[in-house]
Order: sequence, then C-alpha cells, then structure tokens
Amino acid sequence: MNKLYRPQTFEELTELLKDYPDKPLFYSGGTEIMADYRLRKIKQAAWIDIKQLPGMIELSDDTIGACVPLNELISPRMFYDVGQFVADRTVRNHLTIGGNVCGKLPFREAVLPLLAMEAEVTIFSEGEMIRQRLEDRFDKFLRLEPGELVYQFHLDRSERPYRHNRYTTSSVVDYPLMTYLAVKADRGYFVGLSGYGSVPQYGWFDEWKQDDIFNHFQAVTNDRGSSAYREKLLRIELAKGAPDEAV
Amino acid sequence: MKQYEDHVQMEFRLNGETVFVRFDVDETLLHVVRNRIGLKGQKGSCLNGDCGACTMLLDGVPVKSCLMLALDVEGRDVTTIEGLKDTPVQQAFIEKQGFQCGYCTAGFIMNAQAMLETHPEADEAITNNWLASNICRCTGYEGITEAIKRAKELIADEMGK
Repeated sequence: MNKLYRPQTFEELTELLKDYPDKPLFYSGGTEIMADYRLRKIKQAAWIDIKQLPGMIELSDDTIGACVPLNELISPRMFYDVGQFVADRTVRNHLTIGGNVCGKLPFREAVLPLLAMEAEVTIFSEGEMIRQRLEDRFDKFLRLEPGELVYQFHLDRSERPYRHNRYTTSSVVDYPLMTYLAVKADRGYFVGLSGYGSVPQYGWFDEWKQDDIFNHFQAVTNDRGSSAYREKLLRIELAKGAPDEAV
Repeated sequence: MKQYEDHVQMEFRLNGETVFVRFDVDETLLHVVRNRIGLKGQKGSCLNGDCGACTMLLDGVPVKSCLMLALDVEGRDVTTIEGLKDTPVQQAFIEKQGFQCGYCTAGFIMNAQAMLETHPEADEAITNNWLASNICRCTGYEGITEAIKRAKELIADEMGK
C-alpha cells in the first residue's frame, strides 16, 4: 500500500470510487486487514480510511455505525455476551462491528445478534444510501458489490429472552468451535450458530422443536473439531430449552 | 479530502511530548515508535494481534499497535511503557516478580495500567477479561496475577491518602 485516502464526506467518497471502481479496500479498525497485509494477502495499493466519514461511529438507541468498536456495544445484553468473545478485549477496542460482519474470517459472530434483532442495514452504493433488512443481504456473508460500503445498522435494542454459549478447543480467547445464540422474538425463535459450519448459520422457528432446529444446521469437520462433536454440543444447548423458558 | 502517499510526516503526542515523525504510509504504529522514534519498550512478537506484547495506550485505551497504521494516531495521545514513571503497577510487577524473560512485560503493564485506571478494584472476572489479551510464553501467570493484586493494594493505599 502506498496511498491512503481519508474522505470526509460521501460526496468525496463517490468521486474517489470513480478512480477505484473494482475492489477498493476500505480500512477502519485494521485488525484483520493489517494481519493480512503483513502476510501479503492484500494487493490493493490504495486504501480508503472510512472512519472519518459522517455517521460511521454513530451509536444511538437505534443506530450503530459500521466503525463502532465491539467493546462499545454493551446493550442489549446479548450483544455484549456475543461480542465479548470475539478476538480479545484489547483487539475489540479497534475491531469494528462492520469489520467483523464483513470480514474474511468465517465466524462473523457479531452478525448473530444483529440477525436475531431483525436489524436493517444501510449500505452506501453508487452514491446512494440503500436501507434494507440485513437478512435480505446476508447469505453466508454480507453480499456487497464492489464499491459498496456498509454504513450503519438499525435495530430496536430492547432486551429479549435469549440463551448464549460459546465453545472453543482450549482457551477463552480462540475461534469458536460453536457459538450458540437462541432468542425469542415476536417472529418466533431465532437460533444462530458461528463456527458450527464453514459460515454463520441461522434460522427462525415457530415452535421450539429440538429435532427440527437441529436438522436445520449443517456441522463441519475441521482441525478444531469433528462434525459429530459439534452436533453433540448443539444437542446439549438445545436441550437446555427455549430461550423464554425459565432457567 | 485528506490523502497520504508514500512518505508522510505526522505529529502526535507520545508519552506527553509532541513528536513530529516521517515514515512510510503503510507502517504500523509499533514500527514507527520502535524504529523511527527509537522507543523499544513495546515489543513485536506475533505481529498478528495475538500476543499483546505491542500493547500501547491510545488516548488511554489499550490497542495492539502491530495491527494499527501509524497514521491512525495523528493528533492523538500515545503512551508506551517509557511514559509510565514509577506507577503502582510497575512497582507491583517488581515486588511480585511479575515477569520471567520480560519480553511480554511491557504489554502486560500497559494493559494492567489501563484496566486499573478504569477499574481500580477490578475483580477476577474483569482482570481475566482484560489480561486475556496478553500472552506470557514463559507461562509466568502466577507472578503476574500476584502483581495485579499488589497493584490494587498500592492504588487503594494511594487513594486512601
């Protein structure tokens, strides 16, 4: 990399993207990008630092800017519970929610509470802001066209009944064998998993039927654990009951 | 629009003093502090954000300086181990021998410093949550744990004065 741009407005970004129409690299917290850059996995010579664009670090009752660090997301409680296990605490001081959701790593755990809360996402695309349901954009990963930028997430941050657990092979600070999040919402029961498959998986269920929920998900075998082991972990979590059942 | 290309010049505050430094646009904060400015207290080890040896405080908040462009600290306050002067945390690490080879020590101390400024009475859960960001490859965690406990006592004594 030998050029870094810091647009201050979206008009400036629009003009800038005309010069880099293919795959611009958007830089914010840097935690994933800098690790990849050191390993020479990043080819773009020009990076665009998006942190100083207006609204990117907004944090209000119903809006989360894409450049908000994970450590700042403490409500609702499920956000904190899921987020506090991503990387480690120091990294989370500059690991952003947008970076986690859009990252190349397969876990993207922060997307689970966003999906559970039926969040909407605003995406900057070809000079316009497009707001839509996150679920409509998230299929295994956030579907973005070249030049599109995640701007903000919008959600009702009221508390909902939930259960959460996270398994790793050894220490707390590690990638998940399985992150489990089950939430009761008006729409039904949400169950989301990270680390269970090669991408985050989730589903909505009208009733808490363990077999139906279990069969919705596909476990993967990799060097962290077998699919059979992951399936056992999921069975254990489902057997603890629905998120709105008394513990 | 701000634009940086090839070699840049930038000003920020390092350990309370304003520094003006030239570096390449893609250099990390760790590299600039160690190799351009010459403060070698914070160490590079994994360079992947895993070990915490490079931990510095940015506006009082611990960050992994190996994962951050130096450009990100323009106009901001950076603190390294050289910026701490006989703090209770440092004193406690000496008293309780919270180190073995010492390579990770500066990172642990910076993180502990930030933690105890935020939570002077940090309990075990808070301490584990914060300090899990750092790795001691000598596995000298017992001494580090004792040092944190002692630092809390020293801080409590100071606050009681």
